[in-house]
Amino acid sequence: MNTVFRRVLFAAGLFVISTLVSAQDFGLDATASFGSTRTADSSANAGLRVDGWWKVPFGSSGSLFDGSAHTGFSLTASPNETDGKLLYDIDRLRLLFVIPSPGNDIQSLNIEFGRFSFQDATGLILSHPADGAKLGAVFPSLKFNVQAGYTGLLMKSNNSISLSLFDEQLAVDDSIMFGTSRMLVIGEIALPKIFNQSLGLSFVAQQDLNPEDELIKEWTILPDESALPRGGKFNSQYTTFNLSGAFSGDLYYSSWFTLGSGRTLSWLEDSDSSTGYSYQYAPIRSIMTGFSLNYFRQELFGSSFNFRFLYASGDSDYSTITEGNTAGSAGQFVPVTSSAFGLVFSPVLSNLVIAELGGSMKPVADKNLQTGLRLFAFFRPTSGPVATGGLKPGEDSSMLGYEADLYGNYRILSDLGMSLNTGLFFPVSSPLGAFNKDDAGMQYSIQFALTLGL
Amino acid sequence: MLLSANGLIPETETLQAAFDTSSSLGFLEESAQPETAVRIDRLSFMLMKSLGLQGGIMYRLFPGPRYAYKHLVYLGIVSESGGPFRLVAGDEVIRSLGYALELKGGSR
Repeated sequence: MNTVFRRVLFAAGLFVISTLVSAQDFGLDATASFGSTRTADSSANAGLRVDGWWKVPFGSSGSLFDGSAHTGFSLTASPNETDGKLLYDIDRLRLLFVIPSPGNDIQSLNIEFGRFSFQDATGLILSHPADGAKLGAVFPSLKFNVQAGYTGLLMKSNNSISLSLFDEQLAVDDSIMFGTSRMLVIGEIALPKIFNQSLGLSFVAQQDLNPEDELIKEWTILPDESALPRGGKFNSQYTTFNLSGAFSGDLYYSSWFTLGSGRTLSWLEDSDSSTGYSYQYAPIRSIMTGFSLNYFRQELFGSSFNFRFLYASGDSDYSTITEGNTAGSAGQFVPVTSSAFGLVFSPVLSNLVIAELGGSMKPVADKNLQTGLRLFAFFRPTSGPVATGGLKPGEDSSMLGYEADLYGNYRILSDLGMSLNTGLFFPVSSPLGAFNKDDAGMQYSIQFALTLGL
Repeated sequence: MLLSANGLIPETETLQAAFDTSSSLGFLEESAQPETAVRIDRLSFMLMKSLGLQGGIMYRLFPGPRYAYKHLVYLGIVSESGGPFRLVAGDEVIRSLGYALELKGGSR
């Protein structure tokens, strides 16, 4: 009986494996990139990256096994040094089960395990892979999903979360293989549409799991003057309301409002301290809000135009951008991951106001060529620090600078594409702007990439 | 059908003759039989070869079902759903052939 059972099991296993393998798909993309940048220093960069992916669908419900990984290297050369980095990591490795109509008015249920992307509703707070699980359900009038994951098993080159002084030390320590350890949680509810407008509520939380014994203890009364600043834990939560919809068939809008909370280590006055100060955890009370408009004119060379306004609160009593709070609560908004804005000037979305106007078109009808222009104006809402170098200490001016980016993407053949991105940033110097006069020269970047699908 | 669309055989030719022509032109695997089911990547290769379509760099270097399928997915002639090893039905062959002929005629 036992032998029969084993044979049946073996045959069933073979059938399942052969069925899955017969439906699989896989591929490789190789990208070579070259560029030159002049910001504070001039530098040239080159890189080669190979991305591989593998997908095995389970039936027609959408359930699948899905994996992708990359390897490659990047080289950056400046007049003073040449820095080479080897890149490799698993970007995605997940099992997704889609259960259609499981009952109880649920239209579909999604369960996901493994390494996959964590992204908030705005895309401006968190966009990062993590190892974890996700549960999503679609009801007739609303849908929700919850997901939780851990970032401590991502390679350092693939872990871009840097929220504390400890994270900054990890980034420069060559003896450490993995990036910062954080627990990420996302919960999202999409409510029923009202007058055809979509309303959503989402919650993002990140918990610092870095080793406590390597951090500054609360109520320490002497300022940390170690060669490698250690800092404390940075835990944060983000509650976002977002509203989106269409004004007309070709004009769409999206708006959002985020309240930031949590706590960060701060150097605050302390009447019980012999130095008059101590390290204390202060509550975070921050805001990030914005809106975007997108206008599509497909008949005009496939054109689209967009305008975006972003506000991220700052705090004028911050001494440095990272863990720099020196009085009261921490008012500086700190996203979990940074987003790309200008090609040249793209600071973390903290203490920033950004106005962005963009347009793109396909100028040649029978060629898969897309060209575009993006214009930015950058300001800071408080005189506190911004995540960039070259600002004049003590300067209160809010103007940071302007940037113009021009880009083109051309799919030459079905498996060969190229892109060219150029950007010019014009910092505004004191007294009109916040930059030092010596650091206010024009900055540029030009980047070229060629991708071949293998 | 694919062969006659590009004049490689007359429309009145028998199935066995079409199979033999396909084999001799290298469209089919050596082990293929007339009753063997066709996968979408093989159909893509047959479309590319019979209509004389040019593919991407990889197809030009290594002409075969894999890169033919990828090229035709990019052009929207065959569906990516189900992966490259999916077996195709007759109506999909006619539909894909129609799209490919449109492309060759310059209207897609």
